[in-house]
Amino acid sequence: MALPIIGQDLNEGKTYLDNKQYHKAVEYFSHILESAPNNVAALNGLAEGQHRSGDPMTGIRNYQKSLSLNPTQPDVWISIGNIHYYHNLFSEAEEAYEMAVQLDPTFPRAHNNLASVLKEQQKMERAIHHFEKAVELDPNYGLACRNLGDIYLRDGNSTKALYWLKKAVAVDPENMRGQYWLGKAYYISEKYEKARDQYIRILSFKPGLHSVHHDLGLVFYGMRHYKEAIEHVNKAIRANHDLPLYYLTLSRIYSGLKNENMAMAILDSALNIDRSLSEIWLAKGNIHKSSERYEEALKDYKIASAYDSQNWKGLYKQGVVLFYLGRLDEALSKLETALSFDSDQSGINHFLGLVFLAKENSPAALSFLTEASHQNPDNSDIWFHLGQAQSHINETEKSKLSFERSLEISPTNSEALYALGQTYKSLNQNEKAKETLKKFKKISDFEKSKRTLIKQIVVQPSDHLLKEELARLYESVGDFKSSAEIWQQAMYLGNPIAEKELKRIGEMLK
Amino acid sequence: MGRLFFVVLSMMRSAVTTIIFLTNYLFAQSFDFVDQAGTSGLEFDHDHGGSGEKYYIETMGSGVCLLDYDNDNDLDIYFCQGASLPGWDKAIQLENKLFQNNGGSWIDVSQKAGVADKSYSLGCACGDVDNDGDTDLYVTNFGADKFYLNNGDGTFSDQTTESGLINNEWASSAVFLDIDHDGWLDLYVTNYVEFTTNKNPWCGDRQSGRRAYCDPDIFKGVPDKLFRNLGNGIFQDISKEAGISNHRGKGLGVVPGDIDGDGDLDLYVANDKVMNNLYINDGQGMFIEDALFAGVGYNENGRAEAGMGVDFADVNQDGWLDLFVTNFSGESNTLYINDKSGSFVDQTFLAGLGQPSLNYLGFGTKFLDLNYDGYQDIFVVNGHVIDNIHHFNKDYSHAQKKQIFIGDGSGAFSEISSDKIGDARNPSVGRGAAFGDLDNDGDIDIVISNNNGPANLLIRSGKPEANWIGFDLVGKKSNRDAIGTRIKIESNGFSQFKYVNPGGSYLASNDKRVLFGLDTHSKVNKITIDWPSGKTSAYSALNSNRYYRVIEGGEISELFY
Repeated sequence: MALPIIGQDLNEGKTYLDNKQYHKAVEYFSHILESAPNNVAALNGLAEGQHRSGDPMTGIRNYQKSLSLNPTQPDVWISIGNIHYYHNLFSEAEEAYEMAVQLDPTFPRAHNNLASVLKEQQKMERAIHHFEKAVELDPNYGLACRNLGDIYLRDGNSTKALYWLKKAVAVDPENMRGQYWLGKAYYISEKYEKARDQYIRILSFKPGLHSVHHDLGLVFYGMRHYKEAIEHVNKAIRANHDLPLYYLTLSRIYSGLKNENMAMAILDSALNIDRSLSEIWLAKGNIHKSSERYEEALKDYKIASAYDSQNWKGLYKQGVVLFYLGRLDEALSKLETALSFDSDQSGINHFLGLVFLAKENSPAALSFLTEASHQNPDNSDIWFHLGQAQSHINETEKSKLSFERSLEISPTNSEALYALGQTYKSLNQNEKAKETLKKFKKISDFEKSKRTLIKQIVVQPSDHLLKEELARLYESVGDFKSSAEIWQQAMYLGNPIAEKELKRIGEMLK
Repeated sequence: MGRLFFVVLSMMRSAVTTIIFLTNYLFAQSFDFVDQAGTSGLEFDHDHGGSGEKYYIETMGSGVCLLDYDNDNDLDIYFCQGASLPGWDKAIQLENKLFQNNGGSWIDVSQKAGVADKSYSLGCACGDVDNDGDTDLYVTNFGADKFYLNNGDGTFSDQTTESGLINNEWASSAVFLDIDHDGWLDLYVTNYVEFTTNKNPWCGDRQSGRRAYCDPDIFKGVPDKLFRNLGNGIFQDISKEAGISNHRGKGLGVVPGDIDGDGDLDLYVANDKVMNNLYINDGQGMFIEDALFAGVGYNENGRAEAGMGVDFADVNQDGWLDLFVTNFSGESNTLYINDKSGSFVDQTFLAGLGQPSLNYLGFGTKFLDLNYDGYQDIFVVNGHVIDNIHHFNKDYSHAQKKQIFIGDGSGAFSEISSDKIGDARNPSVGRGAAFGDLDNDGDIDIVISNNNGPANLLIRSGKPEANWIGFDLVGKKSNRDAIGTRIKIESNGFSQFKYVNPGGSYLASNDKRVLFGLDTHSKVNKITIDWPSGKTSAYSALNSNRYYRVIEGGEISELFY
C-alpha cells in the first residue's frame, strides 16, 4: 500500500472500504489524520473502517468527533444510527436517525431508517408515516416501498401491502426479497394463483431457495393442489432438512388429507431435529384431538407446555381436552393458568365459560362468555354458548339475541339454529320456531353424514371413493367450494372421474 | 382470576345454606340394596357369544323382564341370553332363562315353561295380550323375534308365526300398550341397525392398533315396528299406516306416556346417535312424529345423543310427564321438562343431572320413589360398551357403578354417595334393568342384567322407613293389565300421579303394579283412577302400607301376599 501524500484526495481509502479491506482502510485514514487531524472525510472513513472491522464503539467516537467539527452531516448520523441498529440498540438508533431527519427533512434514507427502527419498537403509526415520507420524497426508493409493503402486510392491510410491494418490484425487479414479499402478500390475501406465479418466477431465477419452495407448497395447499403442495414442501425439506417449520407444514397438508399416519410420522421426524419445540407437540396433540384421542392429545399438550412453560397455548389446549374428557376441575385449573399468562385470549374465556356451564354454574359461565364475546365478537360458537348461559338464568330475550348474533356470523351453526328454534317456541313464535328447526334438521343431518364419512376417511385415508362420496355430500347441500376441495383430494388419490367432476363443479362455482 | 374469584364467592354465599341443608338431608339417607343373586339361586351369567372379533351385537345386551308368569302373586324373572357368534367355542348351551320366584329363592323353569329361546336375545316385553289373566311374553332378538303365549298352566306356546308378530331385524326394546283404546294390547318394537356377522368392519384406533366395538354411525338404522292387536290372537303390522316406518332411527329404548294430557298414550323412542322420536298418538292409534319441535329429539346443544334407557314421570309436581334418557359417556343423561303443553325443555344441567353422568354410560333406568317422600328419584344402571375403554379415556371404565339421584320435587336432583347404596355401588357392565317389588314388602327391588357377566339381584333390605301404598289394577273394558291407566292420589293436600306402565328402562319390562311413597301420611284421602276405556273410578280413605287390587268398574280389595 502506497502511503498517502498530504493533500491527496481520499479515493484510495474509499476503495479499500468498497473492497471490504477494512483494516487497510483504517490504516490509510489514520495516516491521513496524523497530519490532518481535523479532516472530516478522513474521520468518517476511519469510523466506518473501524465499525466494519469490528470496533463499533471507536467508530462511533470518531463519527462524533467528525460531527463536532461539522455538525451538518445527516449521513454521519445515519451511520451512527446504523451501528446502534445493528447492535439492537433501537432507542439510540432512533435518536441518531431523528437527528439525521432534523438536519435534512428531505433525506429519504433518513426517513426510511428511522421508520425501520420505529417498526422494530412496534411504533407502527410513526413508522408508517416515515416510510411514506421516504417514498414521497423518492418515489423510486425501492427499499422504502418494500418496507412499507412489509409493514402493511404485518398490519393485516393486504391491499396497501400489495400496492407497495408491487411498486417495490417495479422499481427494483432484481431484488428477490421484494419479489418474495410480494408472493407472501398474495398468499396472505388468498390470491393463490398470483402467489404461485410470483414464487415460480423467483424459483426460475434461484431454483434452490428452500423457503420459496416451502411457501409455494403452502400456496398449492391453499389451492388444494395436494400433489404440488407436497412436492414443493418436500423440496424445501431436501434443501434444508433442519428446519422443523417445513415438517410442520408437510404434516399439516397430510392432516388436511386426513392421513393421520403420515402426518404423525412427519412430526416424529421433526422431533428428531428438535424435541424441545413445543409447536411440534402441539401439532401432534391436535391430530390426536381431531380423532378424539383425548388422552394422547393431553400427553402431547403437556409436553408442549413443559418445553414452553410460559406459553398459554399448551395450557389452553390441555384445558380443552380435559373439558372433553369430562375432568372439569382439572380443565378449570389449566384454563385459569392459561388465562393468567394471557387474559386477552377469547378461546380461554370461552372454554372457562363452557366448564362453568357443565358445572351448572351459569352466572360464572355468563361472566366468562361475555368476556369472550367482547374479545372475539365474530365467533359464532361463543355467542351460541353465551345465549345458552343466558337461557339458563331465564334471560330469554337476551339469549334469543345471542343466538341470532351467532347465526348472523355463521348461518349454518346447527347448535345455534336449534337453540334459537327452541327459544322462538318458548316465546310462542311457533312459525319462526318451525322454520328455524326445519333448517336446523337439514344442516344437522348433513353434518351427521359428513362426520360419519370423515371418520371412515381417517381409517382409510387413501380410499378415493369415500372422498367422492364426501364431495357429492357437500354438493347436495350446495357447498360447491368444499365439494371442489374434496374432489381435489380425490384427484390426488387417483379417482378417475375427479378431474371431470372438478371441472363441472368449477362451472357451478362460476 | 379476580372475576372468577368474585363469581365463585358470590355463588358460594348464596348457596351455602342450601348446601348445608341438602348435605345433611342426603347424608341421612341410605338405600341398603343387597345383591342376593349368588345366595338365592338366581344364577344367570350373560354370555355375549364373542371371541374377540368385536361383533357389534356383543356389547348391547341384554335385557330382563319381571312378570308373574304363574299367577302366584310374586314376580318371576326372565333373562335374555346371547348366542354363539363365529369363533365362540365354549361347551355350554346358551338360552334364555325363566326363574320362578319361590319365596325368595329362584328355580330355573325355562325348559319346563317352554321359553328357553336359543336365539341371540336382546330384550323382552310382557303383557296379557289375550286378556285371559296371564302374562304373555315377547322376546326381541338379533334375528327373528319370538312371541310366547302363556297357556295359564305355567307353560308358554311359541305363537310367533300364528300371531303375525314377525320381526326379523335386530330388535332391542319393546313395549305393550293399547294405542287405540280397544281393550287389546298392541306392541311397539324398536329396531336398531343393519348388521350381520359376515360384515364386521374393523373399528378402533389405527394408530395404536387397538380394536374396539364400532360406532353406530357406520351402520344404517332400521325402522321400528308397530303391531295392532286385532283381538283374535293375531297382530297386524301397521308400522306404515301408523306413521312409524318412515322414520329410520336406531332404536334402543321405548316408553309410552300421555305427554300432552289428551288421554292416549304417546311413544318416545331413544335412538342411538340419531334424533330420538316422539310419536304423538291421535287417539286412533295413528302417530305423528314431533320430536324436533317438541324439543326431545336432541339435547340442548342440538346434538343427537346416544339414547339407551328411557322413562316418563312428573318430576316437578306440575301434573305433566317429564322425560329422562340415559346416554353415552361424555354426554350427560338428559332430563326433558314438560312445559305443560306437551313440549319440552332440556333442563339436565339445571337439575343437577349433567355433570354426575358425564363419565358414565347409562342403560337401564327408572323413575321411582326410593325414599317414599312422594317425589320421583332416579336409578341408573351404567356400563361401557367398549371393553377396552380405559385405553381411550383413563377416567372411563368398562364396569361402572350404578347411580341413585334423589329428587326434591322441584325438578332438581342430587346424587347419593356410593357408600350409601349398598351393593348397588359395585361396578358392573350394566345393561337391562327391571324394577319391581320382588318380595312384596312395599319397596322396589332391582334386577340387572350385565353384559357378559353375572346378573345382580338387588333386594332392598329391611322395611320401608316411611309410608307407602301400592295398586294392582285389572282392566275389564280396558286391557286387562290396565296399561295406560292414570292413578292420582291425594293425602292432606299433597297429590301425585303415576301411570300403569311396565315399559321403559332398557330391554326390560317392570312390575306393572304402581307404588307411591306417602312420607308421613298414614292414609290416602282420595284416589282417582282414569282407565284407558274412558271410565273413572274414585275411592277415598285408604290405609297406607299395603297393596290394593282395583278392578275396573269399581271393586277394590286389599292384597295380602
